[in-house]
Amino acid sequence: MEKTYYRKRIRWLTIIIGLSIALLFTVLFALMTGVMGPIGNGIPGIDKISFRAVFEILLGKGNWPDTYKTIILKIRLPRIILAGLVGSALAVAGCAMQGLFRNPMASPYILGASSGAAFGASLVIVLGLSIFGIYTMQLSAFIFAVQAVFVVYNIARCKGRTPVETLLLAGIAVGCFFSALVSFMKYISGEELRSIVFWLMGGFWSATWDKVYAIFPLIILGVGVLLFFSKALNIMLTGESTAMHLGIEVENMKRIVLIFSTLITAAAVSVSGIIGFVGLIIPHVMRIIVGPDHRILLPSSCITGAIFLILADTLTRSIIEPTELPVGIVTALLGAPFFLYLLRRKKKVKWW
Amino acid sequence: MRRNIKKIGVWIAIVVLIGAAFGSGYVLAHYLKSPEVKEIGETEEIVSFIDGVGRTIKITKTPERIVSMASSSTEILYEIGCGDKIVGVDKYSDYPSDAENKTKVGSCYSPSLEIIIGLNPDLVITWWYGRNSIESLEDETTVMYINPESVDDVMNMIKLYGLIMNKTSEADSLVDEMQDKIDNITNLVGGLNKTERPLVYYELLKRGRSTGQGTFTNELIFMAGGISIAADEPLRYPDLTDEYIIAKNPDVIVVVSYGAAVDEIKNRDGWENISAVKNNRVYSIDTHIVTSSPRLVDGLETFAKWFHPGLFVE
Repeated sequence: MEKTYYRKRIRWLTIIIGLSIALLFTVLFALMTGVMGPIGNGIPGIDKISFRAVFEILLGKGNWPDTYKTIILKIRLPRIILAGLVGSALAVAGCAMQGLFRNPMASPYILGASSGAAFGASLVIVLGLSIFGIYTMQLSAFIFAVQAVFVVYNIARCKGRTPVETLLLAGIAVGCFFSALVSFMKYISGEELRSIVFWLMGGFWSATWDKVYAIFPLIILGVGVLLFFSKALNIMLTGESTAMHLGIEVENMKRIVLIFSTLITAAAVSVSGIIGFVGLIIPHVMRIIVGPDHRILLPSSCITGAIFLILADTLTRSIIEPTELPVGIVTALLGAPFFLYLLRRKKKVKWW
Repeated sequence: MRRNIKKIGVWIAIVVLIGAAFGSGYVLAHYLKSPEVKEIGETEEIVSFIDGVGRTIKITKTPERIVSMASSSTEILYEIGCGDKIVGVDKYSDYPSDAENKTKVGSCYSPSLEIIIGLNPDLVITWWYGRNSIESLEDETTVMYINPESVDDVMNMIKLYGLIMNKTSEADSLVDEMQDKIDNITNLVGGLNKTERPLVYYELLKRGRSTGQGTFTNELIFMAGGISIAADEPLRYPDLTDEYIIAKNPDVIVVVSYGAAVDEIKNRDGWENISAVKNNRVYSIDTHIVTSSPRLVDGLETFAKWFHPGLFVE
């Protein structure tokens, strides 16, 4: 018993360290990639950035042109960090939601957060609002995302309990309601229509340090809290009544998991638009690879989500220059076949 | 009971929030103004102006490296002799043909910021609705947003570019030349009253989608002596029903070149009795001449000839 426990711990530690190293290399690779090089096509008539330049700029050394510094430190770096944070947030939230609902279809968006955010953003785009300055759209998306889930939770609550079935159904209904509002906003929009469409597809082309600073604390806090609940999520898999008999305060835990999943989802969506797939598939992929125990599933999903989204975003930056593909398209195009491949190969996987 | 009150409270909160957002939106939507030009004489500033999103832009040195993400601005810059100052353009800038040789930076919705910065521009011109995707460059270089909504705005914009680029005489002569052509047309059709103007149905990409109140196209149609059947529709791009179009019985139908085919429109069920179809006045127009560029006078002339074939004999 003791021995297998240690072996498991060592295995988990190896997985986490391995994934962390992979993340580090992903970040470095992403920093090197772009039109201006070193990995990239370059612009005719303009020198590409060298590998040495990238390293020296990162370390704050050397005398390089301001253009290079701007590209590395103000365009690529915040974008990569933002993609990583969003990927982690969506993967962890998806993982927690799937565990909580004991439903493989669950995703961070299942309670209407994405539709709410979409409405918040399109409202600001169409009406040209700027009450809170240039980040009005992000703020509005965040508020409406949280609002949507808040409404869903309150509707589903009955006599102090929130049955998951009611939650799911209420989530779908509220999601439809907000989707209809988004359609309405699209209908009454003029030239802004394409801005809405682009936002709905999700992307990081407008990443800034401000956005990183805004969501960083929220996502770190949220992910931390959810990691803390991984053991409780394991027990939840045995069913709500069993969990209750095992001493879990089911309703309390449900509420906390929902609150923090929603917060990190809303934070992620507000800065990136609606990036599908990451929150649904990354937890499943990791479940196939590391097993269903949330104590390893959650942290490994967190890192893999970041790796996956950074890679996907790097592809969007370089696949059809000069226009950037919305990252949501790439995540689904890349992820779906890979996931199906895993699904076929490991048909007898124990999901729960 | 108490639970019910709570739920009602939640719903009221939503309604109030949405209502407030809409309300303040309508007030603020009108804040977006077209460029205003203010010349400041002997100071070191060459020109300062309010751009299309209400920011004050100061140009202290004639730009040497311009990225233009609005095809109409690209055209204007070429027309006033500044084509060589353009280093990057959006993917829609294809006129004059030399613009196609410039480095492409994507579209204004999803440009590659990296290419833009790599080009090291001292002026970036883009549409007001592309701001979300480029606002992070506002600290790095001069970014101006344009929002031309009328022929006057276009004229002002040309003069503004003349000031910015130190090409005022070129800009003025371009404006004069355009104004002459416009005057030729408005002298003939400007005085027409509503009943003398042919009703025009202007179709965009989709059956029934037309141009409503406050659109540039409707202004051109009016200047050319016609009147759009959707001129009073509050939506900028309303979807009109067949019933609406048939009831309005337009005298002329104009469809954009990338939209439906003229023959398809003539053969639509129920449209055979529309005056425009009966009299064979269905036309297809090259959309490049119905934009906020100097070529708008070509669009105007084309419209005028279609609307008043008797008045404009070639």
